[in-house]
Amino acid sequence: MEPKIDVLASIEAKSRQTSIDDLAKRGKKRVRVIRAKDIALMVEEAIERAVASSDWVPPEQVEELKREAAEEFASVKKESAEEAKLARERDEEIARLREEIEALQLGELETTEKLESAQQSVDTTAEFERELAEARSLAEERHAEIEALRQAMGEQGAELTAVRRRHEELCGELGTAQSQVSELENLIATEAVSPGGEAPADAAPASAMEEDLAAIVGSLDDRLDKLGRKMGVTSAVESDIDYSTLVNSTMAEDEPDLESNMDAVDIEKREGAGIEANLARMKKLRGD
Amino acid sequence: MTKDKKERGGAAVTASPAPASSTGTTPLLGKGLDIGTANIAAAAQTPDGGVEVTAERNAFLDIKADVYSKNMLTKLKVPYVVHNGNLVVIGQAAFELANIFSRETRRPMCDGMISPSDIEALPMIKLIISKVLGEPAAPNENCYFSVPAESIDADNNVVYHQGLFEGLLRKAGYNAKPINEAHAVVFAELADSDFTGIALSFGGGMVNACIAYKTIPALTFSVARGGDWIDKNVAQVLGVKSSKAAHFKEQGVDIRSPKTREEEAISIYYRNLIHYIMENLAVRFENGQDMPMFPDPIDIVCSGGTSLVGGFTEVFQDEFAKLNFPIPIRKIFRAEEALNSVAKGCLVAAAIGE
Repeated sequence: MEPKIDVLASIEAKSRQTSIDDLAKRGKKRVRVIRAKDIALMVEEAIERAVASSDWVPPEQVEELKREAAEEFASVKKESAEEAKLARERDEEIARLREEIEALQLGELETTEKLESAQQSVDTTAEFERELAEARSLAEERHAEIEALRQAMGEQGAELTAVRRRHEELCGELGTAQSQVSELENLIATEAVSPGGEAPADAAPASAMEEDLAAIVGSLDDRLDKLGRKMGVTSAVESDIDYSTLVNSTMAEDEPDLESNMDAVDIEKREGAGIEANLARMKKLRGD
Repeated sequence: MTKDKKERGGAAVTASPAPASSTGTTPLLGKGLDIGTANIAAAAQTPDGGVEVTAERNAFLDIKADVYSKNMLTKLKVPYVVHNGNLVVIGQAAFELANIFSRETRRPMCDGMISPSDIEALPMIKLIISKVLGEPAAPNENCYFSVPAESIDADNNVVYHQGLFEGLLRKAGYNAKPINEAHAVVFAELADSDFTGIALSFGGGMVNACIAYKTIPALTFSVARGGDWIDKNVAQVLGVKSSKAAHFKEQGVDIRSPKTREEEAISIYYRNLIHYIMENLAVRFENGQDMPMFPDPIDIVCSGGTSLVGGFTEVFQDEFAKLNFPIPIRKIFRAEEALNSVAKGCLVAAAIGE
């Protein structure tokens, strides 16, 4: 039997569920149970008896009234259920839309940041490209300068090497010529000190010696002349360089006497071996 | 190094009378002057046939001028000059004071040449020369002064340097003549081998080399490294001032067996310097044409203050053995009077004349 009013729903609404364990925890070891359907049946019977015994409604209208009430209740219940369903759907739609809005907002933020970052990259790249171009230009200039310097250094280095080689050649020739001069001087000295002008027993005749000497002198003259030409001095007379103006300009002639105690101060003096032996040996070499 | 040192009053120096000959009539004319970066030394003959060398360190130090300092320097017999309102301490005393006060001395010369950067130094060097050389014994007395050879590793103006000192000595009344520094060493130390051989002068600013045959120089050159170069490099590696490094070096180091970090550094740079000069000597001899052909092995003599360090000759021989030297060498030795060699050689040149 379909209930006229929803007593079951009321019971469900006003009752609560609990577990056996929960009841046990509260000390309830035994409980009485009754089905909700039986309660609803009992309530309906009680109402019908109350209405029938009240005389408020004629007995013939009671059934009609109960049917109309049940229909209206069902209609209201249905509308209420539909409204609840619509409300749930609206809420779900609102929640979905909110999520979409948040997602869009988040996407917009990320896009803005990406845009800004991209713009910065573009700016940096432009700056970098400009600096790179300047650096390239500078490097090219420096490279050209270095190449020019290298070329100049190479030329100067070659020139210097040639000059050095020339200098060493000339020094060598000078050394040889000087050695020959020395030997010649020794020879002349030996001849000069021969006692009484007598030739040594193993010596060549005087005329042959003179010829040899003349040949050596001629050879030496040639070599010295050649050497001189190579050095660019030939037989021109060199004038002495006068440094007096240089010295005078560095140290003024009228420089006042400086206050000093130098005259009253001891100075280190060392005694050394004499130089007579050196002088004697040198004079002998020179033929003095 | 100063075992033959003899102190005498300075008054006789500035008014030095002409030394008389053994006969007492003819003065022994001629003086030799070694103008070195570190020291200036003058040599003159004595009546008894010896040689007297007067020397002073070529350095000065300026300190604040006040009466107290001046009196103190006078009492201590420290030579000073008042110049531009400053007290300028001259010579060895300047070197010692610089060490005490942890300062650097000022040097009139650098790398063997007159220092172009310190014009104020010229009056000081003039005073030092005047002090060690004295006045000429006779007008226009011969004075041969040492000049370095052109450097192979530095751009230096020997002509200006030579001209400046020539003019200065002429103004002082001397007949001034320049002579190559190492050539002077040949004159002083290689008489026994007829002035034939290799002479090396290890000075403060540079090392000068001369290969000579019977007095005639066949090859001369210099390198701009010497005692100062060793001091500077030792100072850099030890983190001290150059004057301090020089002080270490002069305190009896034996470079054969260095015992401390300082001695190790000094030894390293000595070996490098010796190797450098000998290698360059060999290269220049090999590259030079018409070099004299020595019939017999020749000697190598080393002189100069930088050669006075302990073990120098042995280390030199070690380094020499590493080279394939183009000339046969008979003997390597250090001059008996290494500090006097250049001045004595100049004196020989002055005495022998033109």
